[in-house]
Amino acid sequence: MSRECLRSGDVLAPVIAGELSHAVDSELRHHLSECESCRDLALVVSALRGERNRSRREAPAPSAGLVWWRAELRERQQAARRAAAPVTLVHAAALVAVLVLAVVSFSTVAGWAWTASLTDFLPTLPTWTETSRALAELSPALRSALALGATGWLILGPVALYLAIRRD
Amino acid sequence: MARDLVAAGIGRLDEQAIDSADPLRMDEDAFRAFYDLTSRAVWAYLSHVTGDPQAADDLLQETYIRFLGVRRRWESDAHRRNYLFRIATNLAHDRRRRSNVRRETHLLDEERGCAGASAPDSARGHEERADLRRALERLSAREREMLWLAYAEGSTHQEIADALGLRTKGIRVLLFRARKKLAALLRGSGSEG
Repeated sequence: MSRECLRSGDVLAPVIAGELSHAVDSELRHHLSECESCRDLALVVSALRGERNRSRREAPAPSAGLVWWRAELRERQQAARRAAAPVTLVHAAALVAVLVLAVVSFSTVAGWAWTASLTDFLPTLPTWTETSRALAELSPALRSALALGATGWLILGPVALYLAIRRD
Repeated sequence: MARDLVAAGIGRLDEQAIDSADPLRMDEDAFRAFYDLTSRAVWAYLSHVTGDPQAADDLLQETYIRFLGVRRRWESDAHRRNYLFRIATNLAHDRRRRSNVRRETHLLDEERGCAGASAPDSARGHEERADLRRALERLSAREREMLWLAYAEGSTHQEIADALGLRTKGIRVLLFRARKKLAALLRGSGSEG
């Protein structure tokens, strides 16, 4: 048989009640002797129900209080991780900024040292007057942007360095 | 200063997380009642689906911890219970994928079985249990889950579908085939013995 028997409900009820062996009528017994599907059902249900009852008796479930406490602990840990996530991002950004600064500084200094000796290099440095004149020739918008960038860098540089090297 | 801000942030989140006024959060008393009502059934399910009572011990706790982390409205007690079994099923699947262990009948389980059985039924009952466990081991995980939920827990097709994340439509046929397979295995092991 490849389909569910229409009488499976009649068989299921006494099996679940544990009464199939002694309390069912002869008509149902006769049906069981002829219906493979219902015999399978009775066998499987009585085996699994019996196993369920034995397993439940043996189940070594820990106390509800312990599980509750562990769940609370897990929530606190997750809350701490969520709270620390933005700080971790700032740390990472600060570290990247410091590394970029270090690489740019090193490459500039290394480039100067490589291409010319210090005595050749010093006279080529612009004087303060020349620098002021060059800045005055720039457009006001560009000057403001430069000033803003330099100020920001002066403030954020030390903060970034502090955040990058602190451990806690 | 940054540390103070972080500490304050953690404190706030902590309070939010543990806030008993959260309407979607189960309070401790309700949890205790729910746990007492369901934990043995969930342990039995996990034990037979994984075939490893020790793993069932760990997975049981994880199931409830994850369940408590869920924030949602439960339509009914059955909905809540089905969701619990769904978490347990997913954890059992994760464990199987992670360890890829062959399911075995553990010695510890045998010992537990012996310790739990009373004297009159110990010999035959123990043998029947071993037969059932061996037969279950020869089924697929999905078949074990469906059979256990349907016939050990008495779940409806809809509840099985909810717990296993399947469509209700196919449950009847799958269950019929799994039952036929298990019955054949049980008869085979009975006649061998």
